[in-house]
Amino acid sequence: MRSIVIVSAFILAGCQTVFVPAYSEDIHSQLASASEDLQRIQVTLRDTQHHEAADLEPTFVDTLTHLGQASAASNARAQSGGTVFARRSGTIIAANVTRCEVAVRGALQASREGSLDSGAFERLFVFETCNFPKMEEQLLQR
Amino acid sequence: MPQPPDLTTFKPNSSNELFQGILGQVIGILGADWAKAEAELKADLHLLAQRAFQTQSLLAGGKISVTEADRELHFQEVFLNSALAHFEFMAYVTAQNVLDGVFGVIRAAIKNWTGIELNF
Repeated sequence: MRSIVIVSAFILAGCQTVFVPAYSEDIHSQLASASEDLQRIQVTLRDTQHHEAADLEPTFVDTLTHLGQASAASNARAQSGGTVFARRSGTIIAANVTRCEVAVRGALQASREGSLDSGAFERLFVFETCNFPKMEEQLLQR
Repeated sequence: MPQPPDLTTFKPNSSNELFQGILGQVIGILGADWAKAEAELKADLHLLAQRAFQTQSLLAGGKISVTEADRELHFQEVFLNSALAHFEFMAYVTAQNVLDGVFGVIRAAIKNWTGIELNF
């Protein structure tokens, strides 16, 4: 019995990723949905000369909902078990999700103030900042 | 320079041959991952330079307010923070790839010699 336990523990340890956390389908799908929202905002800004802040508001709110869920899940994962390296790399993803949220809130603020156009959206790097955590979660798929 | 071994046929006759196989695999992984991380950071810096220059020109031309320019620079800094954190993240991904790669070679060598596939 004891040897079965030891062998099982050995196999489980071997299957574990040591330097990165385990991939999460939930985190990935929340980040992918947020990215689709941001693409919609980008297209709206590109295709319309002038927009009302209210036109973009629901999409911004939806983006922030997805990011809030991704943030909670990625923070919980970074604080759970695994090696010190897996927790550190998990913390990087969680911090990049937070920076994405901050960038989206910045764009929303600019939209409410009437200064968000296609160029400003680009210069605020919203899409690119949000692409990092999505790309990182994808890299965890092994 | 040692090349990555063909894992379907890799059957080392000595620890040195096994070492050469491992080395070939690791050099391939490190080379590819480093080139990717370097190219990504370079592209990010290029984009940052382009957009920061746009902010500067728009501010100089009176097309955007000081508050708007301030906000743009702030979020350009947020972007670079994420890019640099991503660069660190890639080091962990590379370490995991090396770990997987090395034991992939060892597992293949054992399988090609004994026919036994270890589940490690």
